[in-house]
Amino acid sequence: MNRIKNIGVIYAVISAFMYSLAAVIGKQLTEDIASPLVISSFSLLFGLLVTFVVMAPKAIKEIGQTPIKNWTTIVIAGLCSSCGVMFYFLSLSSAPVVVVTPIISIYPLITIVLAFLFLKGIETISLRTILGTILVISGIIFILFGNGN
Amino acid sequence: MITGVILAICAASGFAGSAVFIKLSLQKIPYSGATIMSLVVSALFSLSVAAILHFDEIIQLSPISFLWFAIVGVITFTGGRSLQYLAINHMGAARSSSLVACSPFFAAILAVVFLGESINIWLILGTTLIVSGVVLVSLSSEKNE
Repeated sequence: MNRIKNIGVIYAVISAFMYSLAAVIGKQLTEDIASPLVISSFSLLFGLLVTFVVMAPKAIKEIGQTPIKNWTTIVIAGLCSSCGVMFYFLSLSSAPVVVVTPIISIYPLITIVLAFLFLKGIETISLRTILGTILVISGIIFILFGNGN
Repeated sequence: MITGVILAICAASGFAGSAVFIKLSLQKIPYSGATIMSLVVSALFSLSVAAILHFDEIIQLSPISFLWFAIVGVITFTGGRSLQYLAINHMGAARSSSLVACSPFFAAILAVVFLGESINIWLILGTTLIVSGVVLVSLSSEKNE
């Protein structure tokens, strides 16, 4: 079980690197190529196409086996994510990357609040998770302060 | 600047909502199906909004623009989001979100390497706090459940 969770840590950290790389490139695109909404929508489209090619056989089977009544939460997740991406590129067009990325990183705190409200009985939130989140966000504020000076 | 800050907070709320509802979805739908379905919904919604507000701009885009969109899309969604969903599946929405929040740490490194920004004491302190937080959350994921 511990090995499975350690793999989860690795996935999450690589994911964080991918997002930061995309933020740096995305910032440049909002200045040079297109408006934030156009960038977010087409990057979503291309992301979908490549992800579909990679996951298609398994995904199609899984979607086919999922009753339509179970689609509600994934549709809400998709809409939330879509709004997040759109606001993300809009914010990149209005402020520097070093300001936007730390602010967006407050989302673990919002996640903890939402998880407390919606995920009762599904996952527990320990004191260590909360303390760790506070440390991460404190570090982000330090970086933001350092970049401001 | 303040507009960018408010928009970033809205983006953070969207990502948080997505993480929680993905966790709920993963109780009923396996990982691959959930990833594709959420991306389909996201892409359809975003493209609809963009087409309504920026149709003239879209039809005038150059081919090189689409190449850049593809690069960002693959990095963000095929790479970042797929791995994030795997992390949510392995360690939960709250814990994985804390770790994915390390992205400013990586952004600072990329800024130093590619944009020639210098490292200062605040960056070192911030990095130390972030790494400490990551270790604490990792320990939490090992001890709990």
